[in-house]
Parts: sequence; structure tokens; C-alpha cells
Amino acid sequence: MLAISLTLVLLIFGLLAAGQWVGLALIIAGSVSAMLFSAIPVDRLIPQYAYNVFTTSELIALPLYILMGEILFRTRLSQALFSGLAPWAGLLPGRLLHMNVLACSIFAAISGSSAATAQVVGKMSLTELLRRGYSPSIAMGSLAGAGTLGFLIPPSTVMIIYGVLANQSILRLFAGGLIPGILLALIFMSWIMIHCTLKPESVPESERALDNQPLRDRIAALADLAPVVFLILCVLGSMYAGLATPSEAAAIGVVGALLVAWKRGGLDRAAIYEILMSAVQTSAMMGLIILGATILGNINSFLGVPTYLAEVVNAMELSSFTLILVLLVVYLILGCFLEGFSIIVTTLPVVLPLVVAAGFDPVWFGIFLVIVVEMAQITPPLGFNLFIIQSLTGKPLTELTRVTLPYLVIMIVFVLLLAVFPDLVLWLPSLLYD
Amino acid sequence: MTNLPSSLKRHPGPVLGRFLRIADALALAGGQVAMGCLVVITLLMLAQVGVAFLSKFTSAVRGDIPVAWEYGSYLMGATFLLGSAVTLRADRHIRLGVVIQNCGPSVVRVLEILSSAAALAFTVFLTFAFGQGAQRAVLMGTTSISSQTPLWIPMSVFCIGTGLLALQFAVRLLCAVMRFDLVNEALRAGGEITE
Repeated sequence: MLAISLTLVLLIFGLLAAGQWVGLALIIAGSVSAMLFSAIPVDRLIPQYAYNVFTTSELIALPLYILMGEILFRTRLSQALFSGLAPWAGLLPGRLLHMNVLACSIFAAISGSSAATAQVVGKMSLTELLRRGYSPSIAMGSLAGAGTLGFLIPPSTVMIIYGVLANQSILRLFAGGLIPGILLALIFMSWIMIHCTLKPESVPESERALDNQPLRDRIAALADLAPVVFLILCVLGSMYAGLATPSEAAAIGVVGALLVAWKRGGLDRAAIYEILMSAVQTSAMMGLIILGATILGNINSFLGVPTYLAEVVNAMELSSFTLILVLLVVYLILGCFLEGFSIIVTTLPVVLPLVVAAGFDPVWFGIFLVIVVEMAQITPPLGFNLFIIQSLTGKPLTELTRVTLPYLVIMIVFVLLLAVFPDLVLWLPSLLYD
Repeated sequence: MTNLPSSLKRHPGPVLGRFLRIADALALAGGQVAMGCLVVITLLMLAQVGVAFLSKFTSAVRGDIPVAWEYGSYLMGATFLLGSAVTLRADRHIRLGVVIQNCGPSVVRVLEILSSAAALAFTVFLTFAFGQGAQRAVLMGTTSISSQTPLWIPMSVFCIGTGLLALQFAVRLLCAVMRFDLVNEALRAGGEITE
């Protein structure tokens, strides 16, 4: 069994390193292992799996949330977020530096993507913060860190994929991500406050007067948040009011996003074509990887790899916490070389049975994985959010990595905190659905 | 093959050039049909919400559209597969770039040939498998359980999708072997290629 496991690992990483497309690398690695070590009729199983995956109704939400994200990406929603939130952020130590976290948290609640969150918010807030003279290091770091909330705060495309692959309720996963998402945002904001208290020069002198703004102006500014609140009601409201399933809520969200985009202008025929084509391409890319992960996962199970690894881990007599610690280190290393989505699909078939055998709830592990994937977004050399901020600022990756480090550390500590207090994840899903 | 230096790139002759353009046009057409599928999924889900909402007020309306989820999932599969070829053409299928970016042009070319050949083999196999599945469904008259929809219809659409993807992998393989420039004016003009 050791030979099978090693062959699988070598094949996967060999193919990936050789530049094979991720989804196909998983399929080829699984198929070759099955042909070498078993009598599984691969030629019959693969088409059956492909048909099953491509007709999984729970996955319908995925292309719809992608479509919604593509529409929002092309609206000028970040301006509304900035003007609506800035008067309130001005009350806190760190002033408008909180805009990154606040705007990312809210945008995350209407978009399922971390990259879209960082890009849409960053385009507006980073430019504005740098123009006003805020410290670039904390402005860029907080955007990179907060951008990752796009995956954790529902809706989330990563959670949909995890839910389908792990056979878990997407609604429970969405509920599970809500409290950790809000907590992580609050911790990011606390860090900004601590940083700015210790280094007051991070905030320009001219911005100190922002807390003198009259309350009436602050309340009036909230009107700018109307389109965002409308979209949150469309998506999360319809889901949690029991009016719509995640897929139906996504369709409502698409219409809501179209209305907002139309109202704010810039939605012509060419833009609609571009939105649809981009959504198709992202969906197709994810579809191929999901197919690969499903085939690899099923062949793994046939070969008995997860059972073998579970026995090996059991023999080590690791405590549950140590297991999570080991997994965290492995995922942090993987996150340096694979993008987050690929990490989940590549490792889930083997790791999930291990974790469940160790007594962890699959919903809890889903949230753990989502946060780990978020970390992969800000770890070099393949940190997607770092690339986005690099494209916005032109700063070198080494500098971006340095300024993002505090947020990575916060996330590592936070995920360990979730391991110690799993109810932070599980309380809300239990309350809503048990 | 776009990461080959221009000195190493060659231009295809009129026959191969025509083949490349046809393959690209088919990929683009597949992508456009996938766009339509995505719109229909959205409408189907909205109709489902509307019907469920109306059913709360009148017993004349059923609580759901019986075929919504089934057809929605066929359309989703069609979106994934029909859009796959244009996604590959736009270089948006994810692959690990760390090794490739640090290799010389000749190594990149060999890796591209091997990757494309393996991908072509798999997609051709899947195309035939879906084709056979569709053929069997026609001969046996297989239909879906919930709506009695003939299964050769989604199977055929999936077969076309994987066929288009296989064609694009064949194009990649050909370009890598012959050192052709992968950029095609027809698609670039359509704004689908992000170089």
C-alpha cells in the first residue's frame, strides 16, 4: 500500500510540475494508479463519473455565483462601499485603513470569490488610501489579508465545491463560515488599531480630524450602501429566509447584480458578452478540476489509500490537535506552490477521511480548509491576492509578502483557535438546521 | 506555445492555418452556446423561485417546476464542457507555471508536447465514451427517471463538448510539434484570447 500511495503522490506532483492541466493531472494520476495496482475497469468508470459530476444538481450554484461575481466586478460598487463606510471607519484608530477590511467583508457577502473581492475593493480603496498619504505597507497588507475573506464569508465558491466533493450541505457550510468570517474581520481591524496606535505615523496628520464629522453626515452616507444591502438581501436574505436554495439564491443574486450594474451604468452589449464569456471560462476551468478531483477521490477509495493513511496516522497516536497542526504545516507548504482551489481538490479525497476518523466534523474541516486556502492566496510565490495587489501598485512581491505577513500569522493563530473551540464554526449551523 | 521566443515560432501554411482557424471558430461557437446555457440556467432557477413563491398564494400553481433541477444540471454540464475548448484557447485552464517558467524553450516545448498529448488522449477517450453512451441510449431508448427525457440528448451535447476540447488539445499539440504561434487572429479579434 505504501507503493500505491507513493506512486499516486509522485504521479500527481510530477504531472503538475511538468505543466499538465490540474484537472487532467488528477485524472491521469488516478487512472494510471488504478491500472497499475488494481483490476478496476477505468475505461467504464471514468465516463460514468464524468456524467455524474457534470449533472450534479448541487453544483448549479457554482456557475451562477461566478456569473454574479463577474457582473459585480464590472460595476462601480466599490465607490459606493467607500463613500458609505468611510465616515464610520474614520471613528476608529487607523481611520480609513479599516476601509479595506470593512469593504472586503461586505463585498465578500455578495461575491463568492477572494480574487474578485481583493480586486474590486483594492481598485478603489488602495488608490484612495495611498492618495491620502496612509502608510503603503499597512494599506497593502490589510487589503491582501482582508481580500481573503471573500472565501470565508458566504456565499463562497470554494464552499460549494467542498460541499459537493465532501457530500456536505452547502447551507450548513455557509452558516459555518459566517461567525469565523466576522471574527477574522474584527481581528484584522484590531490589528490595524494596535499597529496604528504603536506607529501613529501610519495615519497622515490631515486624517486625524475625520472623527469630527457630524453624526447626521455619517447617517446620510449610509444611503450609498443601499445597492450592497439590496444584494445581500437578494442572496443571503433569500437563502436564510427559506425562500431559495443556494442555487436559486445565486440566480436572484445575478438579477440583483444586473439591476445594480444597470442602475450605475456601464452595462452595454459588449460588457454583457464579456461577463458571460468570462463566467463560462471560469466555470469550465473549475468543472474540469472538479471532475479530476472526483475521479481521483473515487479511485483512491477503491485502492484503499485513505484507509491505509488513516491506519498510519492512527498508529502514530497523534492527538486531534497535533493532526490539525501537521495538516496546517502541510497545507501552508502546498499553498506556496498550488493555488487554493487546486489544494482542496487534490488533497480532499485523502485528508477528509483521516480528519473525520480523528473525530472532526466535516463542516468544521470545510471551514478550516477554506481558511487554509485563504492563506494560500497570500503566500508567495503563488499568492493570487499578492499578484492582484502587485498589479494595482507595481510593488515587488517580496515587499508585498513582508507587509502581508502579520495577516498570515493572524490567520494561522485563528485557525488553531477554531481547532480548540470548534463551536465557533459549528454553533450557527446547529442552531439553524438541527 | 506562446512562451517560445518569437525566433523559434513558425507560421502555419494555408492548409494548417485553415485547420487552426476552424478549430478556433468551433471553440468560440462552443463557448457562445455555453453562454446561452448559463442564461437559461439562470432563468430556470428564477422561474423555480417564482413558482415556489406563487404556490404559497394559490393552489393552482405547483410548488416547483418538475424538470428545473434535472434540466438545470444538464445545462450546467453543457456550460462546463462546451465552454472548455474556448477556456483552453484563452489559457484559462489552471496549470502549475513555476517549473515551466524557469525552463529553457526546448524543455518547455517537450513538456508542452507531452502534456498536450496526454490531455488529447484522455479527451478523445472521453469523447468516444460519451458518443458510445449516446449511441447506447438511442438503441435502448434510455430515458431519465424523473422526466422521461431521452438521455442521448445530454450525452450528445457532452460528447460535442469533449470533442471540441480534444480538438483544441490537438491544436496545442500540433503547434508545439510544428513550433507554430498559437495566437489566432480570428479569436483575438473577438477578444477571447488573453495573451
